Amino acid sequence: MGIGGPFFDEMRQGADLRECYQTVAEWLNRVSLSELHIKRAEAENLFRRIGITFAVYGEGGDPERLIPFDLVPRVFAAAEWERLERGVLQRTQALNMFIADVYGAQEALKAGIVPSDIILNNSAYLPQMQGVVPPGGVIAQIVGTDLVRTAEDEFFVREDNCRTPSGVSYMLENRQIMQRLFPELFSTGQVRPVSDYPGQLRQTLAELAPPKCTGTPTIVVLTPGHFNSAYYEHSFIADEMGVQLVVGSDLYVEDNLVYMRTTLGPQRVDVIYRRIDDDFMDPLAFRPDSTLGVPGIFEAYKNGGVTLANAPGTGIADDKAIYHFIPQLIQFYMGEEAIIPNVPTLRCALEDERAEALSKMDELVFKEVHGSGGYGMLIGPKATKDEIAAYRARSEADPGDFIAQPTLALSTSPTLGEEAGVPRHIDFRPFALLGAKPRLVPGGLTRVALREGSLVVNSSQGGGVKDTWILKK
Amino acid sequence: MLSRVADSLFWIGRMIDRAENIARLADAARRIEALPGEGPEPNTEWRSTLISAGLRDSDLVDLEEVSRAAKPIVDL
Repeated sequence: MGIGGPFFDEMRQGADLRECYQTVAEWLNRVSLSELHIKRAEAENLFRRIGITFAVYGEGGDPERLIPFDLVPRVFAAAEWERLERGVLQRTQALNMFIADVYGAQEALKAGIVPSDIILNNSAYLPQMQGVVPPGGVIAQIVGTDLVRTAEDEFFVREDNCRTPSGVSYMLENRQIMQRLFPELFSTGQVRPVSDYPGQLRQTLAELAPPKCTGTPTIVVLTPGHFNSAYYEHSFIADEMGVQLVVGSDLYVEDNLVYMRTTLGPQRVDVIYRRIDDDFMDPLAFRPDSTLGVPGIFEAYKNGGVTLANAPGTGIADDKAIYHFIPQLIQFYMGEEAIIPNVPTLRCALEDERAEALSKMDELVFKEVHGSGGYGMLIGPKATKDEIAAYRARSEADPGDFIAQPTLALSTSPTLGEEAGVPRHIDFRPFALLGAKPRLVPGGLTRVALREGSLVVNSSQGGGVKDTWILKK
Repeated sequence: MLSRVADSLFWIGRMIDRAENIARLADAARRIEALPGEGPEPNTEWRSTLISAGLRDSDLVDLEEVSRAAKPIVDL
């Protein structure tokens, strides 16, 4: 068993049931398949009625989709979670130190931990942020970390998300719907609640009020509008936190302070949880053709008039070219070993690693450094000889643009198919918060590849979601 | 409350009001049409309903056609 070997199943090891899955296993034995299918239809109805949707553009038809919800929960034992929690919070803090350093003294660059050219020539690096001191010293308040598991004790970080990670509304809604459909599963109180997340997010944002804020900080959620694919999540989070959901035109800047237009006149805004991309946030500082943003808001941020969560330019830390260096950066800033390691990666930019990667192209996954969302990839075991040859030519021409990783044997979890417990591959995204102190609600979003044998969990490509249980000690 | 939200609420209210008015007019016209009687020309009640709804000079509906047609307005 291991990184490329047979798949680790979350519920059973051979004939042995893993202890944390006891409740789930008993429940699956007790209920009939037809009852589960009825409940699944009921769950879909609830998702539709509440309007929990996301949008897929470019495929024709109605872009607004329901995310498929799988009824069988994914379970972590208390001890497993304890380690993940430490690992995720460690990484979140190191990423923050790194971003603050890049836009500050650049110690890591001077010490040669990360080559300067991949930072300073990176499209995610924002020169406008150079020298900006974020309120409270926190630059990426909300971080999502994508984890995969390949064995009992083998977890890897597949990707960091420091811009505007989404999916947290699914974590909350999945639990609410499970509790509504199967209240008996929760009656023993062994599953830790996640409903605290909006309160913790609010607390985190309030702790990082800007220097010019007086009294209780006013928090808002800034959305690009209802055509955005994650608009449901924006409205849900604003609602749960009990704050206003604003669009760019609701806000304006005067004397480096931000106000929203209300029926009672202008009202000061202190903290903005923004779900608009960097480029579109301020036409005066970034893309001049943006109509979604607020003119002057970046200047207000630099002058301590408002807090932006996350700050602009945090994308530098979740870039694929930087990913490789995160374990060294954890060592550099915190003097600790990374608790959850990276996926072993071969960088084609280095001669010996390139030779190794090219020698086993049929086993590895090749990715473009600047690509995202699965574009420009070569999956060695599934590619034809011609595809491999063509890709080899490309990666030899521009080795710096490519990395290679083993095909990860993602763990499987029982999933409701035509039968009750068919194994399907899963990953996991917990949502960390960093305010005056780091916070992590015991839970996260488990994504599942619903097609048999598929390793692709993205919701735009046939992936679904599961409720995730963290058990009490 | 955000001014944008207040503005949207105002327009939601007005649109609902207008929809209700039009529904009442249509209901009245349908009842009159169902009464037995020999009017001077067919379907005048629909014609007057459309005029009341502000469609006298509209390009959307041809009033003469409405008057000539021997079927209910909802089919046009």
